[in-house]
Amino acid sequence: MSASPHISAAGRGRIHRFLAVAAPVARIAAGGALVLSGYLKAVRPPEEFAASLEAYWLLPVSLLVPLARVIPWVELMTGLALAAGYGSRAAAGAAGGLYALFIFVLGQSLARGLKIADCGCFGRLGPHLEPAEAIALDGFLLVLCLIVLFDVQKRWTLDRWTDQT
Amino acid sequence: MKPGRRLGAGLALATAALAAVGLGRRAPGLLDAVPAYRQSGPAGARVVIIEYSDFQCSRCAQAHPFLKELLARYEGKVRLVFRHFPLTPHKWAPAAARAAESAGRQGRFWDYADALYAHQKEWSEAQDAVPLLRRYAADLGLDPARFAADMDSPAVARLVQEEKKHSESVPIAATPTFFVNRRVIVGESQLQSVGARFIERELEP
Repeated sequence: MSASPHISAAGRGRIHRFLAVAAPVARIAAGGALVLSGYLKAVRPPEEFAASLEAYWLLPVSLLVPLARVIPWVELMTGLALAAGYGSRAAAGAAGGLYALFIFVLGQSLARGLKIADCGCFGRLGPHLEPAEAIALDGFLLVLCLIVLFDVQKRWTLDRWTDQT
Repeated sequence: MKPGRRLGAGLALATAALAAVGLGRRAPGLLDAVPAYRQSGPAGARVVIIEYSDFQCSRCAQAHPFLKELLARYEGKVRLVFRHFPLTPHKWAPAAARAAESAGRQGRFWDYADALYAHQKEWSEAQDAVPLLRRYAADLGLDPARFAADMDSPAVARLVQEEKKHSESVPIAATPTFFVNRRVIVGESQLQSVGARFIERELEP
């Protein structure tokens, strides 16, 4: 008997069929959430998002404004690339990294007992989530990014269109 | 792979993002119809600070002394314009805004604003804040009958309501928010750091 994991042809077929449907849905959901959060912050002055970041007590105020200027654009461009399937696996890796970073930042705020009513994830004018709710959402979206990472079929992606000869 | 097609797709995505954000940004009209008594400092000042504030907001009270310090430091060079944004969860904020307007009509808006921030805890936690708001007016030597009449007048209530509508349309997301020569500053910490540095730069010869 072999010690290495063995997936039968039927099992591989099921995974293949699952990823064919799940990966595009996961890509659009995880990318779309980043597009929304990035857009809602990018259209507003960065000082508003910086004021939300102040509540986490991680960096000096003078660094928060430049950071608040950059983060929404990183979210927006990463989300757009992921949702459209442009460099899908790299975009899924980057998006997964962002979600993991958000979970860390939110988690440390909970561990330190900071009182944060609104995580600031979607800017001041978007949906207001408490840190625990945001961690749950980011965790779910991180799992979706992992699904995209394992997908090689790239259905309904710009990658597939640009790779056509 | 077709590199031209790939480059084109990437550029199209980036352009779509830039265009969407550009369309989503709005330039608000910040100085529409602000009474003279809510403006302080010379008309031609190089720096104009527009403050969106709620008298019941604790962060606004925290920012107030530093704002006064800034005005004293740059006397004659900075103009301050106050705009009301009474937040919905703050029960007595609209009454406080009406009271400040009534004091303004007797030429004492800024003194009354000082009193509101200084006694914020007292009146904001009161069962009925109105007697306290009247007492602060009396302490400043304002005409009590005129103050009470103005505070209850539909015109003053309408003015405060219109101010709130304006603030929501800007839109202001948090109080206090300051527009310093159209640059947005949110909260006391930003005012003390990036705000103060920005004002210094704006006043450089």
